[in-house]
Amino acid sequence: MTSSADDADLLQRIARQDQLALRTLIGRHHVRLYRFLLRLVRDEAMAEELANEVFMEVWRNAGRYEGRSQVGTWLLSIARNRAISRLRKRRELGWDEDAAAEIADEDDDPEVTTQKRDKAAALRRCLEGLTVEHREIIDLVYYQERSVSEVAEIVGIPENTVKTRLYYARKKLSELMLVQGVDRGWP
Amino acid sequence: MNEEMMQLNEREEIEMLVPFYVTGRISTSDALRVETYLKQNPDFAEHIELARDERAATAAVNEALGFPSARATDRIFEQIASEPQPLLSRTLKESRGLLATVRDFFTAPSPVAVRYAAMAAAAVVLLQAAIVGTLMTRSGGPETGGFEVAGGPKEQAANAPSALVAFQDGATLADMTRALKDVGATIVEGPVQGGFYRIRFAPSKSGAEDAPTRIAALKAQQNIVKTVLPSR
Repeated sequence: MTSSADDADLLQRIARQDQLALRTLIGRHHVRLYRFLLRLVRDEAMAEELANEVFMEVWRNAGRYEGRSQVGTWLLSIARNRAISRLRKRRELGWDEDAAAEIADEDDDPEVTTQKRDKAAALRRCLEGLTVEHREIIDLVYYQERSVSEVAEIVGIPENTVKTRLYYARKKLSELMLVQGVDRGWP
Repeated sequence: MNEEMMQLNEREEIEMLVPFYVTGRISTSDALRVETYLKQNPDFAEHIELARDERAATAAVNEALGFPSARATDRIFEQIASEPQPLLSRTLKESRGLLATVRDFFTAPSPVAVRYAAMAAAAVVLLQAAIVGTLMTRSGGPETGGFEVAGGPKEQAANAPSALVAFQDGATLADMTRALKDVGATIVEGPVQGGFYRIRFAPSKSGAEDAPTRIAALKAQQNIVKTVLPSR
């Protein structure tokens, strides 16, 4: 992770229309932001477009950053709001029944049967089968490496809900693994 | 069961902390709770392993998503270039603020010390404005909003030698700016795929082709620069 002090310094420079500072900020956060968006919207072109919108918003409004949260958290928060707004337009938010069904339906494929023996591969497949809501919380904690309070800020839910939602996401993961033939021994 | 309504026993409470424990994004007191519980219940190590597996799988899933296209960053700067130039308008606005400050200095019924302080501040702003103006004139980049005749500095710059450079992860903006300034280079594009920036060297005063020397000098700053690749 990048230093939050460095990022805050970059934002001050961006507020003074320093393009090199914006390039540096993009270099630091673009990939993670793009992947976060892509996991939410599942459309590469849309994820890229939304990431660009986030950086344009930063360019225009860097002066409004108050330093209450880490810059990375602020960027993810902007990104999430934009993704949800776009998804609402497409009415795609909610349980991802297709992805869950996909996992259950692939039982007869010999290649998939082989994959099932590989616990790590099965885990990766099951992560894809979670709902958008559960995928998001897992990504924010494990990949974006955000704390409870940061996830609460990004998602706009109480800290206790962050913990319980993550708990249920992990339980769901165990259920999907069981369907894949892997008993994780928890819960 | 509703997310907020869950009744927890001690083990479940600790299980909820484990993902944050394995990423290290946890308070000291919560980390201590996990470790104390682990000491009392050695079998709990298996649950921590489960969370570590989940973290590794999540990282693998995300990393398999690839990268945004190299054109994505270019589009941001194209959009910025197509928007009104806020830097110029800001500079003008600051100039108006400066004039107002000077006017106030002569009209406001403030103590002499305050007036001198205001005058000193005005001088600093004037100096900064002069520096900004000089940099803008020298750089001749699109951000200046200026124009040049054919064969002018912009055209010379387009023919100047360039290179691709990647900076060390810990390098600060100040480090990068200084390293580039030392070799007379400016960033003209990036970051492109692989985290590289395209830089362009200002023409040398003697007119000699000294790009290899400057690239070597840049490479020597190993605490700031990771890689430099010659390019045209």
